[in-house]
Amino acid sequence: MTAATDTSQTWYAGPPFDEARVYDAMRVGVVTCRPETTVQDVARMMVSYRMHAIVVQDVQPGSRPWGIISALDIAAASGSDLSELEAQDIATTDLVTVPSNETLRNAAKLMAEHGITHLIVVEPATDWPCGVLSARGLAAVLTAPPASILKQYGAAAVSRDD
Amino acid sequence: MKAAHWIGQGGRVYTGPPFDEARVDDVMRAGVCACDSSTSARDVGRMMSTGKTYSVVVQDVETGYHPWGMVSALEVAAAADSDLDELRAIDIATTGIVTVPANESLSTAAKLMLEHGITDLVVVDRDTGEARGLLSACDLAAVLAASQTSSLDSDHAPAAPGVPNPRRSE
Repeated sequence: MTAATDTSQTWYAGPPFDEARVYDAMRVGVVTCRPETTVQDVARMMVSYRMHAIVVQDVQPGSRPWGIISALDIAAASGSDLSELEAQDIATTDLVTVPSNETLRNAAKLMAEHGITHLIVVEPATDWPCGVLSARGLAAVLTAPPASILKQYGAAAVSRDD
Repeated sequence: MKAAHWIGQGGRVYTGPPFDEARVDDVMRAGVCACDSSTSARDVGRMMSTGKTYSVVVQDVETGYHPWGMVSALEVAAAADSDLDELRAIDIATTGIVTVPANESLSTAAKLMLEHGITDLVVVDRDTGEARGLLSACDLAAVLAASQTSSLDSDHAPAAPGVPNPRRSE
C-alpha cells in the first residue's frame, strides 16, 4: 500500500524508515526549464515553486534531463546580468539520480556519499524524472514518531503490507 | 529608495531593496532554529520538518548562546544507520560555522556561500555575536528574481511602493 505523503506537512505518516521507499518521501513532480531559459527566470521559478533545485531539460521527445540548478548556483551568478545568462551556462551536468522504488536507506547513503541535498528521482522503468528527494524530506521520515504515538493523536500510520 | 518589484505567484513575496542595495537583514529569515549540543539527532531532525528549515544552529548556555555549530538535513540523513536517540547534536554538527554580520552586503554573503560551498549562513549581530537569523541561497535567489527585469515581463516597471524594512535599524 502506498501512502500519498506530502513532505511539506509537519508530520510524516508513511511507513517507518526501514520499510520506506523513495516514493514515500519524495516530492512528486519535477520543475524543469529549458537549457536556454534565462537564469533570471530560473530564479523566479525557484521562488514561485519553493524548490531548491530546478531540473534543466531539453523538450525534444525522448530527451533526458541533463542538468540541475541549485540555489547556490544562482547565488554564484549574482555578479553577472542574470537576464543575459542562460540555464545551460550555470547548470551542474553530473546528475545524481535514484530510482523511485529504491529504499530510503540507500538513498540516504547516496546523498551522504555525494554530499548533495537533492536527488532527482527517476521512474525505474523509463528512467524519466518523476520527483525530487530532499535531505529534509528524508530526515522527516527518519525522525518521524513511531506509529504507536501517531495513533494516540488519531493519525493513522501506514505500514507496507506488500 | 527604489524597490524591487517582482511578486512571485504562490511563492514568497520580496518587496525590499534590489540586490545591490540590500543588506543581509533585509532578506534573512529572522530567528534561528537552535538546539543544545546534547539534543538528540532525532529531535534535531524533527525541528527541521516542523520548522521547515534545512539547518539547525547549535548553541550552548556555557558559550553565552553564541552559535558554534550547525546540523544540516544532510548530516541527519547521513546518520541513518545509527541510533538517532543515542546520537547527540554535538556528534553530527559541523563546527566552524560560517557567519555573516547582519549589516553586510548581499554580494559578500554570496561570496561567503561559494567560498565554503554552503547554502545557509548564520546571520549574527556584529556587536554581540548573537545569532539573529539565517540567510539561505534561496533567499538570495528571491532577491535576484525581483531585482532584474525578465524576458517574461511585458512591461518592465509596474509601480510598486518601496516598503521600508522595520528590521533595518538606521
